[in-house]
Amino acid sequence: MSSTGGPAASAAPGANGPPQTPSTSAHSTSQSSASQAPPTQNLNNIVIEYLNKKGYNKTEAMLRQEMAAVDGSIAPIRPKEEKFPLYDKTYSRLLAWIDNSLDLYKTELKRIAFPVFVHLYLGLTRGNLIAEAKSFFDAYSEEFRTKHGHDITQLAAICAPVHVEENHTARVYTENKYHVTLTTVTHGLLMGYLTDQASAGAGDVIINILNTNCQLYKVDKQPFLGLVGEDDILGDNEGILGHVSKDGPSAPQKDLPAIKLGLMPMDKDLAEDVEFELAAEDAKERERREEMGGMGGPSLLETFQQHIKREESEDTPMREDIPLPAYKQTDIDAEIKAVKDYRDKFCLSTISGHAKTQQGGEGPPLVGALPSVLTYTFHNTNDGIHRIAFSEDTTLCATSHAESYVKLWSLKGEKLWSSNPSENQNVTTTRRYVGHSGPVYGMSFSRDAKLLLSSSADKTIRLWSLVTHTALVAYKGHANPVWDVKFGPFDHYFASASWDRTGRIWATEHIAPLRLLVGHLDSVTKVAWHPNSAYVVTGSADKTLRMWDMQQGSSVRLFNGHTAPIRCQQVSPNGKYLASGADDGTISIWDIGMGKRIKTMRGHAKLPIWCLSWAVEGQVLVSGAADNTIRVWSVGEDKGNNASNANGTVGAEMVINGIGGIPGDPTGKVDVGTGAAGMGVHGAKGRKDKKEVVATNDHLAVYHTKRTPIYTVMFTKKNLVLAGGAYLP
Amino acid sequence: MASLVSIDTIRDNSESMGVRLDDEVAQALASDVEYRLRQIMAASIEVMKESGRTTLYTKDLEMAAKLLDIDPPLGYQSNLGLRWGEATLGAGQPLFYIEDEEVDFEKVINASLPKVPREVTMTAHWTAIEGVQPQVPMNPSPAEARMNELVPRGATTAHALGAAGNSDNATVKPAAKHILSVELQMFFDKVISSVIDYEKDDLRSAALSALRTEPAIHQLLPYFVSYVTERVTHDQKVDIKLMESMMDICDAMIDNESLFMDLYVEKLCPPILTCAVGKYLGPNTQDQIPTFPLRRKAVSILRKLAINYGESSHTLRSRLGRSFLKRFLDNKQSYGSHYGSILGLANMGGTDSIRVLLLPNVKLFEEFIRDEIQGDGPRKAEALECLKVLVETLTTLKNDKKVEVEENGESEEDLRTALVDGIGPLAASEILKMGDMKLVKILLKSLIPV
Repeated sequence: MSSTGGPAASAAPGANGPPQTPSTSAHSTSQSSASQAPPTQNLNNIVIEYLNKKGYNKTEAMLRQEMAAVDGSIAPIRPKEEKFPLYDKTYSRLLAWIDNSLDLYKTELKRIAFPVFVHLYLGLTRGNLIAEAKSFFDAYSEEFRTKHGHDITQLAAICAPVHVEENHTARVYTENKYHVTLTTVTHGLLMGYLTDQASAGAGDVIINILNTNCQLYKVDKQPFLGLVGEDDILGDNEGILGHVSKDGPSAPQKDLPAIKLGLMPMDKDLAEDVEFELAAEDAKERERREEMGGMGGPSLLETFQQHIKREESEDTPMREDIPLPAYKQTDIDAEIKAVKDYRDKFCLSTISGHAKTQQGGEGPPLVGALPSVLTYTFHNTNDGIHRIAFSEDTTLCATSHAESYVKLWSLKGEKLWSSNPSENQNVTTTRRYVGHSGPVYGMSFSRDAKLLLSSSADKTIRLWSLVTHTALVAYKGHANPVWDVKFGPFDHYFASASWDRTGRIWATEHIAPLRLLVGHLDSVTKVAWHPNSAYVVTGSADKTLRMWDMQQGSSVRLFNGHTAPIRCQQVSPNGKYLASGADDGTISIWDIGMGKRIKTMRGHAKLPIWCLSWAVEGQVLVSGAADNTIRVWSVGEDKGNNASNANGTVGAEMVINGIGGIPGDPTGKVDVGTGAAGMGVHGAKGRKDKKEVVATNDHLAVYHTKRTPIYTVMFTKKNLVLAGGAYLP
Repeated sequence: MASLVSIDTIRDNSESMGVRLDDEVAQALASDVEYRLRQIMAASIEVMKESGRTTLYTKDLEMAAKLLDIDPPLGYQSNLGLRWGEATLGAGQPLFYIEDEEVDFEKVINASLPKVPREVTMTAHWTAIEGVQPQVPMNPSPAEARMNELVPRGATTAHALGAAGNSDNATVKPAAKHILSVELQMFFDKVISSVIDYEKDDLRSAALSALRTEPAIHQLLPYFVSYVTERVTHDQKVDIKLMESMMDICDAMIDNESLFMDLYVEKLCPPILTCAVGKYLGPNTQDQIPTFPLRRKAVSILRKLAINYGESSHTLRSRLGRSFLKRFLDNKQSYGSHYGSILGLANMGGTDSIRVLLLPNVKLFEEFIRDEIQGDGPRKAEALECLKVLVETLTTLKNDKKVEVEENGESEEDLRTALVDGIGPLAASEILKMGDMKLVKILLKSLIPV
């Protein structure tokens, strides 16, 4: 695939256009300069002198006349009245042309329409043609609702030239380039059209916009037929991508920063200690089994060596890169517990209950079942609970409240004693942590459930001890409310997300942040850690997700394609996939290595998805949302092979596929079921007027709750799902 | 140009501050105000979403204002509804404004604190077990889930259909407060105060007749019932007159045809029963004679209850009869209690109950009162009352058509001894005094077990 300089190609209509193009471009500059600073007097004199010398009297007279008109006007410069009809005509002609083009190219060409629309609208507003801008907006905005609803709403607010400078979304559009990827043929078609229009003296506005505000990429591929009907899915790398490296994110994959997605290798000494202890446990177990005479499964040591132990390889981050404190006895205990839990875990099925009943008794015996969900419902909350967090050992639960406190609940019904005797008055099974001076949002338990982090609107993050039940540290650094905070996989580091558009990485022992993650164009809503602790994924209200190298503090991946602000994300346990949920009830699965979307899963109502969780094997995903349901999704087989295949060979094909967002088709290795799923989705979505959400076929099950939005779901190590929600009568 | 904020609004606002604006300026301001509003809304929606909510609250707006560096508006709380005032600006030009109440500082400070909201609680329950939703009250029933419009087609709803029989109706009722209108509350207070006011007879009878006829007081029924119960429990040994008033209330309510009393009969019985057979009523335990009319009244009310509601409550009659009989045969009870129970037995089941329950026990009962009557104890009068009512009751058997007596040649003397033998000398002498030989024969015949 070759990425020709898109802007260069489109910037040079003169190269393949008729000779009069230079004059059109001159025309366009004069038009745009009307709103800019007037040319210096000096330059005018030089020109007049030149015209005099050459004897172009008529031209000179004309120039003087025009100059007088410009200089003499004290009233605000209003652009020529015909600007609006021109804009309107140009745009409607573009739309008509797109509509008349072959279905094959339509979807791609439609992508051009949106940035053109936005900039024409902004242009009109900037020119103080407010009424015209509004009617233009009203006439054409509706068709972009599905894809760009969020931005449309934001832009609708603008009603004065000064707002264009001030409005966040408008600035995003004027200060950044809108990225569009087109296939060769479509690109050619577009260029042809623009040249025609330019020669007719009408296309220059669009050319201007494409030049200054858009970035076109050309991929050397045939348009993908499956794209038809995929109207409400953003194209690959379409949109404003924020601060990107100068090559752009659409550059071939070899240019993507290399990342190591393997899991963090284990400390050698720790691994040895764990193996030693496991061997002892195995011996004990064997004795017991001989007494009982029962059959045994795989030994703990085998389980550990086959599934849990992480050794260094090419794909794993270097242990030295991320300094971690020395391991303790509790770490060994935790590892041993993890091994036991892994062996005893509940087997999950990826076949929907529906399919199961259809198969009846004929099919092969099914192993596993759908996950069990244990829900903790909170009452009398008055909608004052923001988030709910469970500790990994399922003994504790924490809720963050609008009334500036965090409440800790014992899930085992045990009293929460403090190691500090003075704290032990009237001990109950709950504790209230008071210290924040604003509503509390994110919370995170450390892996050993001895520490709790909470983030608040008071711009601080607080660390609480669950042993003494007292506050330990207040971390200050964010400039605005902190929406989310998460402990890293090794408890030492944590990451936070804030309204100030940054994410930050901290270590518990430093009161200042270690890294600033800057690049999002809007409030950063959530953070999630990669299980190897080397990367952090942030989700933002700018509808993108970014993965950051924790060591460098740089953005290494950009996941673009959601059409609404991100509400939650979670990296799969094997570290290769990312699941993200958005405000519009869609969930996307991304291939982290490729930085591409694998599929989009629908089924939730068009309400925010609050939480996601991966099962231990990474085949099943559970989501909880504001529509009072918990849903179970099949993410598919562990596509380890497929993905590496795709990494190596597919390349460009994957890009095209990515445009359409069709799950896994490029490799051609997709089982019939998934393929059918894809088709089903298309058929259903073809009817645009349908308000109903049609579930994609990877939707395994839905569990309804009683008017209880689910704030958190968490797979335990044994594949039991814990869910938390607040009952809203 | 269509704008959310009209130019007039801007102009009205500016004029209220003494500034006159040009059309053009007002237009520009209007569009700017609209833009600021939208900006705040966008930010507050983001705050709302971060708070895990889908309902926008005023606190979100406040927070958004803080985030955007705008002075937060002061003075309006979400729990105080805004009051809109209306004024007319000349002909047909209404002007709407928010009434800005002046709040007395003193009042605010001294006002009682608002109620503490209920503590947040947590319950754990299974939402799904291996993909099946158990039918527990915490989970919505399949019907409820189906009601949920948001169920996507093609989704597998994993309900344990038929797994738990009739659990479809497993609904949890929210705790609801019964709210009475002010008028009803006033009616209640008025009736109560008038009924216990013995001075003003006309008012009292008016109140009782209101209670007897008013069709729209069914909401007050539980309150009256519980009031009667409470008064009887607390004041039975204090005020006989009050007890009589309570009985009047009961009587009136039973008479009211538009009240649906069936549900309250069970509740109403105990206080009336207390008034009928209570051991000692009124302040004076030595002299119970004054309580006898009350007992008589209570019994007659019970009789009415038993007749009117015997059908809806099958066991009512037998239960009342049983409790009367128990007291009648208990020599530890006071004479007042005995008096009430004799009356009760006489009234509950007509001649049948007298013949079957009362008559065979008359001889036994006579032993309770004999000493008192033959001696000269303080309770002689009460004992005599009991004897009197007992004989009265026995006399009613005269009209019992179920017992047939034939004229045969038994001598009067034989009958006399037989009667004394059957019901004891005291009652026998009273009956013989009447000289009605037919009654004696009926009594004797009834005494022989069928």
